[in-house]
Formats: sequence, C-alpha cells, structure tokens
Amino acid sequence: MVQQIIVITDGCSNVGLDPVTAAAQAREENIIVNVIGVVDEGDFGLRGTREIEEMAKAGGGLSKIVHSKQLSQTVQMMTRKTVVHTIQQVVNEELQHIIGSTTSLEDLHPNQREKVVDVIEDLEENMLLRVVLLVDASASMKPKINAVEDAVHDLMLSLQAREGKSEVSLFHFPGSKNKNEPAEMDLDWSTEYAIMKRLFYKINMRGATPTGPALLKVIEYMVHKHSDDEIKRLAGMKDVHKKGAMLSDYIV
Amino acid sequence: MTTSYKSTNTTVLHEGFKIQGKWNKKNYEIQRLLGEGTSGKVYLVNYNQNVFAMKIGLDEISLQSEINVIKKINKKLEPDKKIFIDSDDFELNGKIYSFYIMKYIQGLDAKLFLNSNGQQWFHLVGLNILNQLQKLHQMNFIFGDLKIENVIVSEFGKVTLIDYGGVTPKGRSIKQFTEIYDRGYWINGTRKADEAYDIFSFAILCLILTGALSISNLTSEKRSGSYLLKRAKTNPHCKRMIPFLEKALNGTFSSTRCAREEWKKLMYGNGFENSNSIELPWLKPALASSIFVLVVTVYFSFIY
Repeated sequence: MVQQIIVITDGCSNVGLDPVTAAAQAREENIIVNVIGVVDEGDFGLRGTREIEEMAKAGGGLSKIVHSKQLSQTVQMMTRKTVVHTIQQVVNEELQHIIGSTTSLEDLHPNQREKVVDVIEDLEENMLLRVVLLVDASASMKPKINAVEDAVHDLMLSLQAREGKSEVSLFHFPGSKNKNEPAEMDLDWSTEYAIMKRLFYKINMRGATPTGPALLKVIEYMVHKHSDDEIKRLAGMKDVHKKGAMLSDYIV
Repeated sequence: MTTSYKSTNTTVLHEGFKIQGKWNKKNYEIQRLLGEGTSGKVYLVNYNQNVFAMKIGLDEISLQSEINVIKKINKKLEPDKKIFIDSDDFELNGKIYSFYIMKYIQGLDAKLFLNSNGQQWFHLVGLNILNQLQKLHQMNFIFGDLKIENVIVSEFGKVTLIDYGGVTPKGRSIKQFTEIYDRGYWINGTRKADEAYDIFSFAILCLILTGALSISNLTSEKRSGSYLLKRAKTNPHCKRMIPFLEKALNGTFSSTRCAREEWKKLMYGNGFENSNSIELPWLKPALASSIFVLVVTVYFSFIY
C-alpha cells in the first residue's frame, strides 16, 4: 500500500505547529508528504520556498515549485509526477526486501532485470494507493485556486485509470465553517471522479495559514479513518502477507 | 501516467567514442546524436560495419520497461523485420548507463516530411500511421505517446513509430503521454489504455499536421472536444476527413480497424470534387497543378 499526502500551498504558514515537524510525524506513520509549492516571485516567495522544501524533506517526499505565471498545466504535471515518484519509491523499498539491500538493479544480468521490472510495473499499477490532497485555501492563494482545482481533477483522472484501487480524499485549510478547525474535509475516501466537480466553490478565503495543524489533522485521519473497502481489506490482512511471500518466491 | 518532457542530462558522447557492453561484450562506436527523447538520448552507432540506433536511458527502470515492450513486440515480428538487437550497460566516469540497440530508420518526423514533400502526402501518411497502430493493437498494446516527433516517415510515406516509452498493455493506465495529445487533458475521456486512446491522439496529430490546431496559446477554457472539432471544421485540409475526426475525437470508433476503414473510404472519396471546394484565393492559380499532384497521390496510394 502507498500512502501519501500532497500539500498544495504557497508555503507561508503563520499559525501553530511547524509544518516541518508535522511532516516528519507523517513519515513516522508511513505516510509520504509531497509538496507542490505555488509561489510568487520576490522575498515572500523565497520564504515560502524554504518551508516547502523542508516540509517535503521531512516527509520523505518531493517538493516541486511552480511559479504563478506558468500555473495550471505545471501544477497538474507536478502533481502527477509526485504521485508516480512516491509509488516508485515504495515499490523500490519493497524491491530491496526481495533482491537484498546491497544489490541494485544494475548488478543484475539484463535478462533477470527484465523479470524484476515486469514485477515492479505490476506493483506500480496494482498497489492500493491512498492519497489525501491538502489544499491551502488561505487568502494569498486566491489567484491560484483555479489552477489547483484543475490539478485535482487531472490527478483523479490519472488515478482512476489504474488497474489497482486508488482512494482519494480532499481537505482544505483553514476550515471555513468552524474557525477553530485547522482543516476541513471536502471529500471523504472516494474512488469517484464525478463528485469532485466544482468542489472548491465551498472554499472561503481567510487570512490565517495553519499548515502544521492542518497536516496533523490529515495524518490522524489517514491513520484512523478507513474507507469501507479498506476496513474489509485490513480484516483480510493475513492473506495479503501470504501473497507477499509468494511474490518473493517468484522473483528469487 | 507521467508526462513526456525533455531530458535535462547534458552529457553528449562525441563522434568516435567507443562503448563495450558490460554483459554481452559487443563493441559500438558513436557516430552522432540523433535526438533526445523523453527518457534519454538516441545516437547513431556503428556495429559490425552497419549503422544502428542506440538509446541511452536516464532512468534504469523506465529504460528496462521500454526494452521489455520492444522485446515482446520483436518476438511477434517476421525474422527479417526484427527491430531489437541488444541491451547492455557501460560505465562512464564511475556511473553506469544502460542502453539498448535497435534498427535504425532513416526518415523525417511527420511534420518535416509534409513540409518538404507537400501536404498531398497527408492522407497516405495518416493511413500508414493507422496501419502501424492497428498492428500494435493486435498485439494488445496501446502506443500511448503518439505525437509528431514519434512518427518517422521514410520515402514514399512509409511510417515507423519510435519511442516506446508510452507503450502500455491494454487495460492499464497510459504509461506516458504528452498533454496536448492526451484524451484526459481535453476532458474527453479516461487515461485507460484502449484503442480509442491512440485514435484520439491520432486525431490531434492530424489537427496539428494540417495546421488546424496550434500548440501555442492554448488556455484551459478551450479544453473540450467541441473546440477541437470547431478547429477542424475551419481548416480546408481537414474538410474531407471531418466524419473521421468527429468519431475519433468522440471515441465512437469501436476499433482501430473501423477507424482505418473510415479513413480509407474518405481518402478515396471523390478527390476532384474536394479539391475544388478548397476556397482559398491563393490556391486558384495552383489548382491545375494540385489536381495533377492529387492524381499522382492516388496513383502512389494504389501501389503502396
């Protein structure tokens, strides 16, 4: 299973827990944090960039900076790229268990490599994927929110095409209904694309940017709240382990 | 689901550079850089007094994945039509690079070919692309990243598809695509690998080749199938192919075979009537010669 949070922000948090700390906590829970930074040019942007990079580093993921000028298409491309990267990262860890941590792909004879890569691709395509998109909807993000919405739709489209299951959930921060909520859920675990349409109309732009607390809330959600299908899957966990063992035999 | 983009690796191997494969010990000599794809560089190399194409990958896994696809396709080709030669590694400045060797195809990309040989080749080149797609689809693969740069046209409009990085088994998610050719980008369908995905990209390719669609100044408001169709309808070169393009963009062809048949039918339709209906003033003086050219095209088409 691959679990990841994609934070889309301009990186200028100003309330509560340091988002870098929160990201490190996510990593401890086996959740990878990727950050898409949508920044303006200038000093403000520079500060944001630093926070974005450190957050991704602490969360074991990638950070991608997009300047507001080149928005829509690039946010989409970067979002897709981070998802693919995270899947590859997790599959690679799995691979190390199988071929041993001291062996790398290039040590294998091209013929063996062929089989290993076939297995990698199967895993990439079929592994269960859980993605939470956490969108910064504070006032400074206002001019960029349409591009973010396009990117969310685009990502859903890519995830839906996989043979394996992809569950997506969507949050924005700060909360717009309750002022004390660091983040508010827009979409509970879902595999549906249709529900996502025109989602961001609900977002109310406000001043504070509680990135750290929002991230913390999402981590808690990922750890404790599972979709109905996922609950069934967890109940059948033992079978999954058996399958894992078979896979190892197959490769070695 | 990755997007095609230009690689950023700047190392270029110079002419005469010798490479010996680590595993298979074959010797290759670099002639020149042929091009730069999404996932690496392609060189022209000498091996056994013959020329071949060598692709050096940036990422091991994606290169190997490409090799896997090529080998699977290769198995199904006639002995004299094999495309795959070898795959191996070499070391340079302490770093290991993986590469594979393929048959070298001489030609121009589709746009350059039409620019230098004339737009009258468009229908035949289109048919030949569809033929190639149909062959691939029969092997249960979808090409995925179909675009002008990946279509090499040789003499008499013969078509070869290059760059197998996007080739995906049917039913999976498209491995690699270029946004403007992507059905999902135009909000006109999924990113699942099915025959209609390639046919959609093919329609976009036609729009670009005829100049009906330009890659620059595309905004997200314009993203829809109806916008694309509107562009096609205003272009004189697309006119005859409208029934095809409409179905291709809407995904209503049930198979590539059907798409190919429709293309062929329209291609052989009343050519004279159609050439008269192109109402561009600058074309009138050239009309006589264009009819001549059309006759020649049809003649060629029957032969090849």
